[in-house]
Amino acid sequence: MDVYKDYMKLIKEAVDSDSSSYLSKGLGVPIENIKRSNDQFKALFSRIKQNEIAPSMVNLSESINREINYKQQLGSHPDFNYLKGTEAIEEHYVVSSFIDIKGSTNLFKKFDKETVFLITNTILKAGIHTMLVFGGYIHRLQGDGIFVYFGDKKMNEKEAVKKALSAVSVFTHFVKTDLKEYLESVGIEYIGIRTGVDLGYKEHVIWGNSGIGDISEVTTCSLHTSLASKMQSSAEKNGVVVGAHVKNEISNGDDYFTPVAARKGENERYIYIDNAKKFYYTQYDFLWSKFLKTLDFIALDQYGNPIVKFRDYARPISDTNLRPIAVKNKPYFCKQS
Amino acid sequence: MKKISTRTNQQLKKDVKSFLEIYPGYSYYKKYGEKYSVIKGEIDVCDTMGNYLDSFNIEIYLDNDRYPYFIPIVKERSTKIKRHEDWHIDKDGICCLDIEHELEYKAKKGIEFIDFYQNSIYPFFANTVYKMNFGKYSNGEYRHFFKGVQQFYSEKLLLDNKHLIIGILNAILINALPGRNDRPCICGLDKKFKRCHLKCVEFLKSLSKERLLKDLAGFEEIC
Repeated sequence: MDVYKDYMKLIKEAVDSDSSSYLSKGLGVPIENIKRSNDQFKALFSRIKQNEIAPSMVNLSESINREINYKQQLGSHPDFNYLKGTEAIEEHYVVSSFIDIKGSTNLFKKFDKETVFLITNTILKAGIHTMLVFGGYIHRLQGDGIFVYFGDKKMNEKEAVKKALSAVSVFTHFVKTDLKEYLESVGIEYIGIRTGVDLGYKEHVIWGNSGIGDISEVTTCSLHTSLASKMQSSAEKNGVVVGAHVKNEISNGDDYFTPVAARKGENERYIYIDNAKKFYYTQYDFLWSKFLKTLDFIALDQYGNPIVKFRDYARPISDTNLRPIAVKNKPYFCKQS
Repeated sequence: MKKISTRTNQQLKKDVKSFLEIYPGYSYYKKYGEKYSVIKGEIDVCDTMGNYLDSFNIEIYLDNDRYPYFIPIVKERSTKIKRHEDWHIDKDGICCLDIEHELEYKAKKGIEFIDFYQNSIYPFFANTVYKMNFGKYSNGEYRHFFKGVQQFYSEKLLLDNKHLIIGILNAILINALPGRNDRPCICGLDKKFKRCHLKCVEFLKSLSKERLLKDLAGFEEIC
């Protein structure tokens, strides 16, 4: 997807300036002398700014028309930050998403540690930016994983679920297409993401300060936040698994979700059972690619590939790029019978 | 008309299902007993570099009985295209995707809906966007009405001689064509028929008798 091209460009430049690239070019220089310079590293590392998304992602942001809050801090959702350091708690729904990047250790087999850092950091930045564009609140970064909340006091559950699913669909599409294609071309076979998303309704979620003093964060205590993490581990590579509450908030839910048990060939379809409460909770594979293609801000090209529906009117239409498709048509007018 | 069969309707069902997997933004409507099934939605025109350019609200009508031996009817609902013959669209929004001869030929062979969408419907809207921006179609256009038929015979079948065209059409209609290895060719040149005009004659032979009679009348009128 074009919105990630600046992130991809950075990853490619990191790979191109890796010490293995010098070796493969047969320069015959001792390894300790062929590392990229500190200035080169800094230039790459700082390419994507701290307080703005990459220019290529602006199209996505503008097509969604949402202001991005760069001033977020980890573990402090602005609507619940007042709970920090207090004994107070609040009940409020939450959509929890766990996104885990898998296989990044394989990068060390191929590249030096600076390159690995630049690659994983850029993927992480792309992920964080995607979540921010859709109004997510980054709660925690865990290794190569992102734990993000969706929803706030101005948003209902349905909208929060849609935002969360839109964000993970767009990001998974990037990892499964642009990123995978490129990394495979440089010999990295397995890198992908797995995601779990679940919705806990107000009556099942407590927001409160967890920990002591400065060693604390405002977080949620909910079965469904715990389940989202567990669902992430049930997902396939580049797959997304969600809870039944998420499915219930999506219109035509049967079109986009299939029980995980069906994929695994298991008889038991529930991820959580509480016989005493007669509570049986199902996890579903989310057909994110299909869902992505139905979103308002997504256009489908001639072959059904998703493209961000953003028209830059300042840029004239290119004859060279449109002609190959248009030329297949030669219209004729006759009165229709 | 082809015989209606259960298999044919199953083909429609299968092809629409495959189409909706690739383009899930479209909705499919089928009412029991109605002649047409309808696919409704937005067609998004994007260029080869993945730049989004425009969208049109469209309806695609598929004949429940005759599919795949039928050309889908495409109606533009968003009225972004001016209802004028120069835009190859009629007052009801029915789009003229191609010269009727080519469409009839495709229908005779049977279409595969995804392929038809990607290579006939989509290019029509891409070409419309092209004209909206560059003032003309990328590949020219057929002239309106019978002049367009003449143009088709000239450009695609390489037949410019009206008398020869009338001779070929008559020969097809009364089944008096030469054999493949006969010499001279139907055009009078001292060449085997198969090495001269067989290919364009075979295309014409695939068209309906009504189409050939209509063309014949048109060429006789201008001779």
